[in-house]
Amino acid sequence: MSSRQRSPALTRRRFLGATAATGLGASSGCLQRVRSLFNRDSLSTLSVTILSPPSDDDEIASELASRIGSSLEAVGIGVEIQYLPLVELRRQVLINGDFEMFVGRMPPVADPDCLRERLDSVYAEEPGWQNPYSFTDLTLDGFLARQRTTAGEDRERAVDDVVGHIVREQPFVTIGFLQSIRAVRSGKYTGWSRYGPRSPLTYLGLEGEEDLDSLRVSITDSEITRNLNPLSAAYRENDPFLQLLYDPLVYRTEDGTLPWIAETIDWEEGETTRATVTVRPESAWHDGVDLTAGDISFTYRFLKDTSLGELGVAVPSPRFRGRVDLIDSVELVDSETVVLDFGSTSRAVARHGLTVPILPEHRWIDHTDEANVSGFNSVSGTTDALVLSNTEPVGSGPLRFDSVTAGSSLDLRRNEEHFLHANPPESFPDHLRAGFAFERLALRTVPSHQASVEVLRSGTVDATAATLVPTAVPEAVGSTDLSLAVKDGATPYHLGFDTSTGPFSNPYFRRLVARLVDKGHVVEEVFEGYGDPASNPLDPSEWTADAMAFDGTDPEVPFIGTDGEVAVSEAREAFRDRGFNFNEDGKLVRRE
Amino acid sequence: MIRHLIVDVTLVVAFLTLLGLLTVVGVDRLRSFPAMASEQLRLLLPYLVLLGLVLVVNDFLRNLGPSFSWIVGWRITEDIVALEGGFVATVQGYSHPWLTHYFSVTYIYGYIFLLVFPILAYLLYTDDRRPAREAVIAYSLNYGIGVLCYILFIAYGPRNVPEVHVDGLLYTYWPESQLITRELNANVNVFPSLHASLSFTIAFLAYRWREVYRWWLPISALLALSVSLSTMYLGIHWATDVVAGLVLAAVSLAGAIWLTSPDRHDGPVGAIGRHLRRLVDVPVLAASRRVRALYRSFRTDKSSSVPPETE
Repeated sequence: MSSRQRSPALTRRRFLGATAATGLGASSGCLQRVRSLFNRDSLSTLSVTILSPPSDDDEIASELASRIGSSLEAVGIGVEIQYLPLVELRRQVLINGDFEMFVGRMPPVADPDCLRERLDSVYAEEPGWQNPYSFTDLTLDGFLARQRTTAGEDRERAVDDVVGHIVREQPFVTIGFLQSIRAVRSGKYTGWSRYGPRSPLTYLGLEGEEDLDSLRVSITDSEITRNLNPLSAAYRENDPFLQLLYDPLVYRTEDGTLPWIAETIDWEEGETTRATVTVRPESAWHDGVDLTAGDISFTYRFLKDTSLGELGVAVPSPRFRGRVDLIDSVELVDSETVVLDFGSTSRAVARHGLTVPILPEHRWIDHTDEANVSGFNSVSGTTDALVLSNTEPVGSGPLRFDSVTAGSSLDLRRNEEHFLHANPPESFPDHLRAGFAFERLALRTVPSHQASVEVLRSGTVDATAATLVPTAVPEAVGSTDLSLAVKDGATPYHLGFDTSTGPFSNPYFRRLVARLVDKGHVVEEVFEGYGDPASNPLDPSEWTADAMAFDGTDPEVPFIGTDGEVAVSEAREAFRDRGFNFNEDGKLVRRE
Repeated sequence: MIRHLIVDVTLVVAFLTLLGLLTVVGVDRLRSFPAMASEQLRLLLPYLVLLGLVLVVNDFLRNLGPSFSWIVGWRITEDIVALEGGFVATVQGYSHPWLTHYFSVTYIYGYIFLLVFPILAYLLYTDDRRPAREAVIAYSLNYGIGVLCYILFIAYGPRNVPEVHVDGLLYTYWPESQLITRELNANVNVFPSLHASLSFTIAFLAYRWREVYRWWLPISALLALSVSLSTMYLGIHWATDVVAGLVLAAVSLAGAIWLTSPDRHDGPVGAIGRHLRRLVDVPVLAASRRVRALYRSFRTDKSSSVPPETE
């Protein structure tokens, strides 16, 4: 930040002032005036830094950063865009909290309760996707707590309040959802659009058109070939592949939940919400050890504190913090049964807590020690479990680890012992009861989306991973061997602020920055029409009231200008109205 | 798919090289070479071994470099943007489908040919071993200093920085080529441009030894210029990288001339050189003696009457 860079100069000026003052010191009366002159903060121009991935890592985000940067500069705010590879970017934003603004995707907000994880002030100091914006707001905390404990219409009203507050306060600027586009080779597998683009169930629900041995998928982000730790916040965003290795208790689908390694879940809503979970009796880990209720109870304790009490301060797993927090206590009844107590949380929200990956106690119990790795200094220390590469993962999922080559490939193999293959439940839909339509899932890294279409066309892979950037789509459309599977996106692009520092702590400043983003235009130009602008992460869904939804223009922070072009004098006027000043060169100045 | 590409590149470069040998080097020199071959190779082998080692270390460091550089390196993307701004975008302003095709081909095929051919050509020049020695040492210095810079400086090229409005033309025009380039280098190793520095090094050498192969100077100069321009035109490098590459070329060639100069034969540089060359020479001489002995005994077995000659 410029204010920080400028401070040495200021200090020097103050020092010179002090020297001068001492020189004049003897002549008394003068001193007072000199001191009051030099102790006064001087005006300096505002300059901000935006963190962005380079085009190779996310061409949409980098283009957004570039456009936002030039809009801010047009108004008179200095901008420096710093390009960081995604892993470094996440490390800097999510773990070290060292940023002013960043552009990127936000993990899916599948349920309004995800916003609690994203914005509750209780998480402001923590690493990970829980409140990386350091946003602290008593009113919002109240609304978030209310949606957690209520149900039905009461909850709907609470969510309305949450959405309304977020849209007004702009702790981050929600820009829009890019559609998830996947190119696949025709005549091999079908059913690509059955589930969400990043849902692991997509791969389970595929049907093979011929007798197929393997499904080969290209991926552009090679990080999964270097790190297979489901707890790593820097390496994991929300790829579906690790979820196929580590089963959850239940999967959430559009029509409700699918009991996975939980065979039954009995809910009890009395004074507290409780769920009695029984494990499928035949469950086993990939190394042959039985999966028991003990592993479930361990997982929840471990995700709450990966040091299991050894470090004095709890070290929760950043990735699952919000979900695990829903659970007050876990009671192990016998080797097949656990009772999860959700306290006052309503059942509608509580079921979200059942979607975390279950970890084998015998593999993770040894990783509770404090870790020391450079570039990773979280507030409460960190454990080995959180920084582990875990290159030979042992889970319980329908796929098991086979082999990995760092930077180029990852092979997963069908787990025949999995209940889905050995004894598929009657209640499951047919396409799932069939299990995997292939023996092997082979992930191959490619350098770019454009290259992935070429590789797909050459027949080396069968499908691209979700999701292709729009600029690669024409290549795919032009080929008769390929077809596209398009779904609405789940991970909104957004501009995040560190709301605890400088001008970003002022909601009016954030709103004004938001008003310099022409969401509709961006979706047209950058998303090339493959997507929808949004006023908040729950837009569009039944959770956003019409008055709060993006409808041609943003309901709270409409763009100042037309067709992506900022109306500069109007924008400056809007800044002046909120007490910001511009110098004679038209630069925004602040006192510091 | 990548295998197919590698075969493709190898065939094209082999064809160009053959063409170059027949025309630039000439049939006479090719005919007379076998007689001198073993001596020439023996004398130049230590240099080639050195270059091989530099390449292996270079490859290792380039792969290791980025993750290490993010911790210790100097992030200079923003400084380069501030320094040259829209220069590369201006270059791309002249884009034309033919130019894009020409520069894409030059960037991949032309560059590899430019690297391979002079080494072979100078190796075939038995009258004077200085061109070959200087070339090999200059290559080594380029790669050595280059990789050091890649660790110290970390920067994205213009195609990764949308604020300068540059297209990644190579990869939009020819997406598969990225399968090769990604194998060779990381996208944060742009300062300086090794494409530019090695090309300039070769053109400078061609000028210095223009009496050796007279047609090589115009060919290499044209190629070097095209390759350097292509790195910018295709959105891969900044003008800053190319200028830095030019400086690196000058430094590397000057270093190579200095290191291999006969004036230094009796000084410490010469002593170190002889010391190093003994490491390679001793095993190579021993091996070649063994081969020769085997060959002779094989021949004597065949004729079966003549007793083996003694050396």
